[in-house]
Amino acid sequence: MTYQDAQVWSQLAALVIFLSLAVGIAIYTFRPANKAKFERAAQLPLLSDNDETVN
Amino acid sequence: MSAIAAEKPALNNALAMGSAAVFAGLGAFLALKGVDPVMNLHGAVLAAASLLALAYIFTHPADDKSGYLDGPIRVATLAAVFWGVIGFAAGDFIAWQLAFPALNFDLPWTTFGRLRPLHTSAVIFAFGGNVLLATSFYVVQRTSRARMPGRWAPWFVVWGYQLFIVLAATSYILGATQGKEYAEPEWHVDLWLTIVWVAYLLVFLGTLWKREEPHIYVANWFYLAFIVTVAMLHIVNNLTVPVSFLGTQSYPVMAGVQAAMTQWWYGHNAVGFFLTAGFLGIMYYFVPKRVERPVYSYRLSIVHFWSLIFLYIWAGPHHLHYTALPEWAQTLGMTFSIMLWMPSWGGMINGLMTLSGAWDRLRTDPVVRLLVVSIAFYGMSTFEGPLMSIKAVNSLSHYTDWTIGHVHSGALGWVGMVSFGAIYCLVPWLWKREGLYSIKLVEWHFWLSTIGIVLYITSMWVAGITQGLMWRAYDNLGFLKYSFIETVEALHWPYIIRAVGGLLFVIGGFVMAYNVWRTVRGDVPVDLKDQPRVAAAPELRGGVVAVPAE
Amino acid sequence: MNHGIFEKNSLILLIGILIVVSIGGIVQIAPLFMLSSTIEKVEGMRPYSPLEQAGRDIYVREGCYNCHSQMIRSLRDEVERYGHYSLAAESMYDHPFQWSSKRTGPDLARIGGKYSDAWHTDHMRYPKSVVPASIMPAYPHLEKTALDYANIQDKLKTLQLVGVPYTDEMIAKAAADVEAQIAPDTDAAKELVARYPKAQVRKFDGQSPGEGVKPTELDALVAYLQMLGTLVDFTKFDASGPNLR
Repeated sequence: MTYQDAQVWSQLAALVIFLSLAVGIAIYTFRPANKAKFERAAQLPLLSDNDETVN
Repeated sequence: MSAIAAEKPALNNALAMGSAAVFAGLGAFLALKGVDPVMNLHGAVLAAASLLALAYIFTHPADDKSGYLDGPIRVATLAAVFWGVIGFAAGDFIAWQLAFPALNFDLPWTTFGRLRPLHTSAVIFAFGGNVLLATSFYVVQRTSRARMPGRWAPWFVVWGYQLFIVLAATSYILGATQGKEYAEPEWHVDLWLTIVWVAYLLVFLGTLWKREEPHIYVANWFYLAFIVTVAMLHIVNNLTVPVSFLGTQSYPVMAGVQAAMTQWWYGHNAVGFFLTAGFLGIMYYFVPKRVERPVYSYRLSIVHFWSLIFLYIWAGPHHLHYTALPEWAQTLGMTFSIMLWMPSWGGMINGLMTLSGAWDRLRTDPVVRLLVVSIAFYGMSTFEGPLMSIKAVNSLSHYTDWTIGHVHSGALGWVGMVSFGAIYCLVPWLWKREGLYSIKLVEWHFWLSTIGIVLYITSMWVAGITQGLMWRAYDNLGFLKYSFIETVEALHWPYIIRAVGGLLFVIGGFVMAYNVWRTVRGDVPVDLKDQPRVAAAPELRGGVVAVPAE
Repeated sequence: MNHGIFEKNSLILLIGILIVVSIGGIVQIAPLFMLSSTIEKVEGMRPYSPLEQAGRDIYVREGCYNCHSQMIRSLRDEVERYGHYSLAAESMYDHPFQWSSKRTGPDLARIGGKYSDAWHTDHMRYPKSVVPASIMPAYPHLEKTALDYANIQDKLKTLQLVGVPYTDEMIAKAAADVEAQIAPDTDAAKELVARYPKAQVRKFDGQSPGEGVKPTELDALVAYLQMLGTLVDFTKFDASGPNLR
């Protein structure tokens, strides 16, 4: 494989990998099924900090 | 491991004492057999610290298992204040040296070249590092509703980290350095930090493993990315071969262009992961906590997280524009640096908009103001950064004080102020106080810092752009117009203004130290009526406690 | 695939982070070791002589990189002010590299031969004596401190281990070469120059040479400064090719 080939293939592969990563994260983030989970998660800092809640 | 420890405290104590004894022995060996004075000194310090730890563990066999483990957090909080004041003062001192070089005192130990690494390490690793230790341990326990695992491991992380700071600082002053920016500690200090860091990662992960909450709160994602990535950067950039295993000096494995690329991959991500990702963890916990409402968009925080950590790691080569680094690498670095603008501002908006509906807090609570202005500075420096990474701009700004000004708008404005905000939150919460000793003094600290930062940044813009333009100025015969020393002379007044701005920031640091000290001592707050309910420790807040939405 | 595993399982989150943050470093760093075009082919580069290396260690010890770069960018004004832009080949034996990121003082990549030894000696003793507006710290102790080169052999051996092409002969003669470089017109000095072409031999710190005279730290530092940027033969350097800048 020449340098040119390596360049073309690595750039194509990178495009596919990064694009699917980005799409995957976007789907995960905006899936309606995850909405309730995120809303609860967002409340985590506001939960009681008292010691009796410790595991 | 933690399960065994919980059942067998005696075994746990024995293991800790055994390790301390091993390190004491190693220290004594290096103190006596080391081939240079720095190694002798470091051996003695290691031995003394290990013996102290041994004695402490021996006299404290019983374990207090109740509630969160906050002792190490208190130590790290006070250490952050202590090292912060020292680091700021060291920085201002070297700023005065540049205006008045007689302050170098003609002594090897007090020259700018040795004190500047002392300043950068003290503020980044000693101040910033302790803020990150304290807040990450606080946040991961609270959002997991779990106590940190291990009887001694969290204590080892905090005190071991202080030992790292002492070893690093003494070696710079005595002339033991690797000669790489922000990676100056020599090989034996690097090894010690690696041990501490692995313990840190395990304690952090261990807390997550024990958690009651099904979800890992996003602040912990940022902390975890910070811990893991810093470990990777630290190990790769510090690969080195010691000249002697009994001496401090070593030669790095990489040379020239590869070393340069690796160094700035490390250096820029020390900014990206130590000074940004870690402190974004602070933002995502302390801003919602202080204004008592959830983060503006949890979804945005997830996108923020993945895009930030993915893009940041590529930005390093913008420190090497027009150098002997191959052009393709420079272009990659520039492209990703510009793209980085977007997640940075996404995060900024997420932090700022958390206040929507509670903007009045900005007026009534100076701690909120510190947090919010820090986010504003984060936005400003993450706009300036991509701008400076553009090759045409960089050709002017690089090698000048513009870079120094840019770093400080991030370091003083973002890292400094978000840390101050977190410290002012933490101290009453950790020491179970009704509030801070004085909220008025926080107000003073806020204005001293803000004015100091503005003087600092503007004077460095003037200095950097002036010098950059003078270097490339031609006269009408086509010759370079200025000799180098003329461009240095032009910076005298900007240097003085910068040092004055720095002085204001240092004074602000002392005001904070005083306020923290009075609060810790338990003095009755002078202006409790002016402090929000959330300033008090959770136990002392009274009233309704927020419950999670189901 | 259940994306929820990221926030359910801290180890998977950790591995995800590791993968994401590794890509950039791998793509940017690994090719620099593999692409032969990264470092130009030049004539004249050689490892530092033992005295120059000792001087370089002092340069690193004192943190000179905090104010001085050793990297001339390929910009018109820099090339006119400092000389030919720096090549990757010129720092290929630099452990650690000292390109630096700040020019509080001027670039030093080609400082060699620009000033006399006497200028450097005065400058280190009291910078304002030669540059009245200088803001550089003074280093008066360097000329009073004897150079400690007891472990110079170990140093060269370590450098050989990390890839600097020191020969075994160079290592064996390291200590002798330190002394030879401040003893002009001796056989030892001739041997030194044969091993390290273009090495400059003289007492650099202004004191008189002679039998049994030991080098000072200033000798080593000035020897290093006076050779900086002098090795590559630019009459034979072809700037075209993949590194054309």
